Amino acid sequence: MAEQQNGDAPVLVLRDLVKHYQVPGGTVRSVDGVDLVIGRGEIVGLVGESGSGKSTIGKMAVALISPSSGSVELDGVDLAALPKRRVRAMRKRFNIVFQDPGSSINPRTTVGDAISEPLRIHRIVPRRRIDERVAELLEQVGLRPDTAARYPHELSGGQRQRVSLARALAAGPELLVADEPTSALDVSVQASVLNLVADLQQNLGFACLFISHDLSAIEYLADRIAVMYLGRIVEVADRRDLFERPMHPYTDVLLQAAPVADPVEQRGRERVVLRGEIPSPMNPPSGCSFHPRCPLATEVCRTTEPALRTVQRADGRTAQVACHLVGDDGVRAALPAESVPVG
Amino acid sequence: MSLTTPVPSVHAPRSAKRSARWRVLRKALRTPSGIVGLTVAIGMVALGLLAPVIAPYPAEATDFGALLQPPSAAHLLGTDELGRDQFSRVLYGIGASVQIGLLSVLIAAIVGVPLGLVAGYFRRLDSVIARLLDVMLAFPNLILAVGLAAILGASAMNATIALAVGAVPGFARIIRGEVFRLRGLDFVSSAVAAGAGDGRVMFGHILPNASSALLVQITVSIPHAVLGEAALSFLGLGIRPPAPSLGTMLSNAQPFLQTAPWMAIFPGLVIIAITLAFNLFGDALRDALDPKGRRR
Repeated sequence: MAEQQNGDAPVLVLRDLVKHYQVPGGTVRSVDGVDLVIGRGEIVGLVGESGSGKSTIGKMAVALISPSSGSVELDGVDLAALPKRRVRAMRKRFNIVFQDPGSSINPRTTVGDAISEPLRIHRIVPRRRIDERVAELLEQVGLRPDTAARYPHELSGGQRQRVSLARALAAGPELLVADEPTSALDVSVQASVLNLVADLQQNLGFACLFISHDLSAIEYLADRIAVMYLGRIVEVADRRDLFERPMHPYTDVLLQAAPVADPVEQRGRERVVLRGEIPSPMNPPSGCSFHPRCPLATEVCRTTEPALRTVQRADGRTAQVACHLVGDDGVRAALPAESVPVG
Repeated sequence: MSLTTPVPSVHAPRSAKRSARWRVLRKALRTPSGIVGLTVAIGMVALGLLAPVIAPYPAEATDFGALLQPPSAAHLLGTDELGRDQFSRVLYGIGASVQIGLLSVLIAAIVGVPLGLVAGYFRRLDSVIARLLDVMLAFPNLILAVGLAAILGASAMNATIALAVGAVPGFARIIRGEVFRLRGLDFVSSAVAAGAGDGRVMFGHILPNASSALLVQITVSIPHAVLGEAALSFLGLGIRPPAPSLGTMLSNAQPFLQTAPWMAIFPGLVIIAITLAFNLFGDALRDALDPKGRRR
């Protein structure tokens, strides 16, 4: 897979991105100061519990909602500061695939119309070549060209996600945001859609922000992974580093929560199980927002908010983490061992 | 890896499109009220259109040798105080009612639909438009129509305009609600993400998905307009005598209720029939559209 090329400017830079919603009774801090860089041709996985603000980031990255503050820079151009008309012209360079295959395609249009819409809007190919291009795109996502004449309700969920992918990639974007594209699908179909995303990315070379709560999907696909908790990014690391040596206690617990395929191993595993629920983003805890659930929390965690800082591991690779307890070498005390019987 | 996904073969893409669109109609016609309503409504429209062909006498021909005759073979529904054939006048009256009813609803839809789209889509305009609609809705429809007709003067055209104005808020509100419902769906976001402008999103993506609700609103608005036309004509603010209208016929019949009741009964029954037919069909359509599919 493509590594982030040094010296090559990143496709997308999110800088101190904030989205607050005013609701009766207070402010929901859906996204509360997020920095993230996505390199050209890189797949960045964004993982977190529901309500952590993943989807909000995805929608801000493709200018579907505007940030309360901060910037979304595509090739150095801040989308949030651009007039609507200019943003619209730039939309051929980024697109999004949504989670629910049932509602993400207009039920009144044919598959062909859905896929060709970006081509027509941005005049990517001449009118007489549109059908040809649609057939190409359909084949690229593993569907037969005659699917173009069908309506979304005639297709299965997996087929619809393929159509959504074809549509999102029709204009040849540099960046694709995939917002839980497999979460609503059957497990058997999930794998084939994940494979498709990987193949397409390799062939077309677009950068991808892959949002999911499914760790195995993220592990399969992502070059780099960002972990979110309550509107903030708590850790960013290369895939292998994150899975082998998680730095943030939350990442650690999250990985331990994911089941292992081998039942014998699964039964014998020592796991730290989190107590309590994710706090309300309307009233986040003081200091580190994870401290009420963190088994290692100390006084400083309760009072001071940790910034996302860069650490250099012993092997020389860098990563980012927002935790007081992680040293500049990326090392932290182990979580207290606690054997949890698994039913 | 294998990318081939089995695609069930489909032979007639066009029939798929039609089935999606006609499914609701077919479902509505499976209910007694739907089939009766549609049949009677179509029958009434046909009678009105064919009045010049069917009517045995000209609408305004008087016969002073046959005043206030009860129904007979010569005059199926009797005659009025000027000896005019009531059957012929009812037929022409249906034509006038249906014409005014359909035209006023059409005008109301042409004005109300864009208003509702804009109100639902642009939040800033919504408060202004919604307030305006509230003000209009605060007036009882008939009072509004009477006021307008009084200002504009009595004529079929002015009655149509007056009734259309009264029906606009209904259309705007239905469409505005549909926009609110649809705007949050992913395919609308997807259209925006694809680079679609406001016009394309509103007319290409939102409106087609609101067409069923629009159809219902049209169907239930027609009987209101027909009834409104009759009321305006009854009050002398609609179609001007001697031109035939169901409302003016009722008005004429008032002094003769005891001596020639057929003068009131038949136009009255026809008004009821038209109104009931469209209402029944509209209700059946609405039930067929209800996704919960309550079966009764």
